[in-house]
Amino acid sequence: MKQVVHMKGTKDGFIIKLDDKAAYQDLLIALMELAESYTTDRQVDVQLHLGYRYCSEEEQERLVAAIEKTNKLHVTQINSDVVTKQESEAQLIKLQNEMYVGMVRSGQVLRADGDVFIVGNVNQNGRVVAGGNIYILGRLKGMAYAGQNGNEHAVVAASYFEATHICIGEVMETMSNEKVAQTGHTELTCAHLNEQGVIAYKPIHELRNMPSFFMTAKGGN
Amino acid sequence: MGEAIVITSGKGGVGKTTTTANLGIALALQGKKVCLVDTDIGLRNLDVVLGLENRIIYDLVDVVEGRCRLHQALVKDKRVEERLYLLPAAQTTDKTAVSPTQMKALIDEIKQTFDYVLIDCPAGIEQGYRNAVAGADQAIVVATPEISAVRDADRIIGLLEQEAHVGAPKLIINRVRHHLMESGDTLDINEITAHLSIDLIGIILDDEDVITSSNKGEPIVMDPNNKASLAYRNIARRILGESVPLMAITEDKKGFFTKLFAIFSK
Repeated sequence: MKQVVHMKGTKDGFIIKLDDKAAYQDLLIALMELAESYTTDRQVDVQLHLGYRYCSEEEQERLVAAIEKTNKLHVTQINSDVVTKQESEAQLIKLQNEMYVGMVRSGQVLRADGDVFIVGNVNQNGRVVAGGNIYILGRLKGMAYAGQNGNEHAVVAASYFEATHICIGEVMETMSNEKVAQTGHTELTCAHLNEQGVIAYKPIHELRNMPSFFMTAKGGN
Repeated sequence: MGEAIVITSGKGGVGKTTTTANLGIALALQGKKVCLVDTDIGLRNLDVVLGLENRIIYDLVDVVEGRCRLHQALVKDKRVEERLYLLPAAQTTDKTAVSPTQMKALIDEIKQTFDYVLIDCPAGIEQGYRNAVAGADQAIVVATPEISAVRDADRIIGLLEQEAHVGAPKLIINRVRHHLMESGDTLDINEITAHLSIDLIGIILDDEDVITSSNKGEPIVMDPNNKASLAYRNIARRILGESVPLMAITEDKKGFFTKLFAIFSK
């Protein structure tokens, strides 16, 4: 019979590769045989590479169980070259960066699944609702709801920050007169949730140092 | 084939009807054939401002429901010979008497025989607004330098921008009071245009004569020596495609001797 399980030693440790075309049952048997044939005193860490095979979580567990059956091998990591449609779409939405050129006027609601970049003003009573971050090249005079997919690290940034309402994740803040006075100037400001879970304001150039600031953007730390 | 322009504002009382009447006459004075359409069904005013109230026989709803022909309902304004007509709104029913589809068909019919159709829109964003906008090709938004009027204008501009058949809306700032703007007590022209970010087509100074002339049924634009009248005439020329510079918003500052003279000449 053709060998369906390959074991390779690399500088990162042992890797067990599965043949993409082999039947799942054959793989289980081959893995158990491999585990039994492996007789050393100490336990060895291995990585499991699934290749282009899609395995559900339950199937993965059974593969791992087969390898770890004799307690000589220990799986530290499972790699796969395939992602499901769902995972890929979720990833896409997370990385999505929509651009909107125009005004968001009174009574209008601009919705975005991921980040949104607006070139233009958001007027009073205009609302921007984004799953991720909101950047505005213009005046923010209305309402901005960022991180509505539960992302508490989302930020709202604007050239002129004169919003009436800010919402990040589930924290909502109305901008009373004192608060605008507190921030002093409104130019190039961004809002985020600080460690205490309170909305805080910072100059826009500090965006890159925020824990929030994602790896997707160039220049982020 | 003419052009239909809707005159709207969202907020009430900013001068839509006065603007419609004055612009209509100004365009007619420029030699265009103009029809004014009052879509404020149930609360009609345009006929009163034009002084044509007692000449109405049929109205807009009669035409839409086929009780009369279009030309029977049109009221001719004799001051601008053969060039200015009014299609009055009905007073006995309300906005739901007409649908946007019917309105569009009506405006399209009027456009066949007129150069310009000015549609006076009711306040609000409900059925009346939808009726008024249905047949329009262009839109003029009237706002006064008050925050409430500017907010409503912003809303209405947002709605107008979603109407594919209406061109980019133009802005008229009405009832500008020079001394309040100078002292910073009202929004100034730049603030308003920056906020709304649409083209400004005219500024009209606040003038008591506008009110008194409307009350008499003789719109101010008939008086060639009034500043508000000149402003309306300039807007009409801009609609016709001329490039006319905006009027300077300055009041004639009266000197000491002029004031002194005024006291003695009483």
